[in-house]
Amino acid sequence: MIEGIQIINPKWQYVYVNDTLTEHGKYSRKELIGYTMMDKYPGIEHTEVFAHIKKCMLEGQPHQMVNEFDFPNGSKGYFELRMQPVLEGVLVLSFDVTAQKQAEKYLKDTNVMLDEMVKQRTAALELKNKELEQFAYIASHDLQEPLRTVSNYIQVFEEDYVDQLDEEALSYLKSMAKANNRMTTLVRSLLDYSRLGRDKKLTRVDIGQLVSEVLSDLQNAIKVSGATFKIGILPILNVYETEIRQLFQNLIINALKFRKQDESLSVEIMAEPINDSWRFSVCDNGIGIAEEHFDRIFQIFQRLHLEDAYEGNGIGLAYCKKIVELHQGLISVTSTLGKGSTFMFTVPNLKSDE
Amino acid sequence: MLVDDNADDNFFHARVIRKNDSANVIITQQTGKDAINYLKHKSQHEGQHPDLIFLDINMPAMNGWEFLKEYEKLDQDLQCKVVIVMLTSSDNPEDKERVRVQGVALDFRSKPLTKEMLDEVIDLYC
Repeated sequence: MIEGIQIINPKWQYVYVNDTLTEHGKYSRKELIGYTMMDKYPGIEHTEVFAHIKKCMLEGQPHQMVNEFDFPNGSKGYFELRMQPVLEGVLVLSFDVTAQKQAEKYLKDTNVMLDEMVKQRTAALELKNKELEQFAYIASHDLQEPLRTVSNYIQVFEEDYVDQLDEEALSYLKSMAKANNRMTTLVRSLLDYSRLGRDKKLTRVDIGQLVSEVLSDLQNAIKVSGATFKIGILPILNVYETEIRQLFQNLIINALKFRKQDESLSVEIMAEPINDSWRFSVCDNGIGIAEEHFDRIFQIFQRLHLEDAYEGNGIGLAYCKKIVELHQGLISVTSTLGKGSTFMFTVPNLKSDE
Repeated sequence: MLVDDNADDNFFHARVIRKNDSANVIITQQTGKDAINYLKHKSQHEGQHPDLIFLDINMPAMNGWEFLKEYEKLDQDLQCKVVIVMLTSSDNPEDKERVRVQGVALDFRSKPLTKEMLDEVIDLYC
């Protein structure tokens, strides 16, 4: 039998014990029968198990509990106890659940340890990420100076030696200047990118208002493109205002830039609440993006087109991704080549810093 | 006066000023310390005391901010009309804020110094 059985009479004496109980209790039957619980386990009258047995005895109601039990030899055991009032007193059925308890404890300890490990690794990753950002910041900052020096000397060269240079030499100089300017732009973009969200505060912003401001800033480009905009009802949210403005601006500029030449552009900006966040979408009927490029477009300095076809630095959508992630959201794109693209991003309800 | 540890920048900025015929005398100093010393010894170079200083921030030993602290301690008579801070990176908000707070420097511009920038600064402050 796996259950231990004991009967305790109202004088707290053991009147019946089965073999299993003698194994559980580490006392022989002879050592128990006729003795009280207090004889065998001094101090037991102050324990929970005693209180339960007493209650069962007085009220005649069954009780149940899990008892942590210190054996006389010092080891620990766990027993599920079921107490039942009987004619002689109280019948206590005990199940040894030590193994189960130990497994539970092991599981709990392991979980705590895993939690701790995850925390440590997350902290280490965050630190590495910070270091990388710091590196990008310092590198792009320090690279600007030599670039400026090169561009200054190109200018000096052009001014002072123009008479001594033939056409070919001048065109080489122009190419150098152009490449240098492009690098200056790239380095500056990288610097701005690494600076996104540095020491910024979340503020409450009417996104609808913000989008209409962005549209009015871009009104010339919109006029040229002949685009029509449809703006849904947009929420008021706690965001990093400058960054969110940049996000909408980049997405709208992209829509304008990658429009079809033979069809008038229409752009829809919508938002809908989903769980604890808002999902925004910017949808256009432009040239679209092939599915294999969906991931690549969000990486910094990645471009899909020749400079001659569509100018750009390959930084706009990388900015967008970083800004959305700064807000603990996600950005994605769905698109059909030749039909148009929809950029979607989420912004959770963040607590204001103010 | 140009205060910049970068000799290339000093060369280029001096050239812009010279070509624009904006100054009678152009003094270049490569350290903040030398620049302060120059200002302190005004009596030794009468008539060549600067009206306008373009100050670089990133300099070894005494940087632009430290220069401004020392400059502030000089007698009014030894100071000059205008100090313009020259920023290395186009729009670092922290540096701009610092120029505003420190108050000794009147304004800031981003490198490199151009003819237009020079005309504007002289128009505004000199």
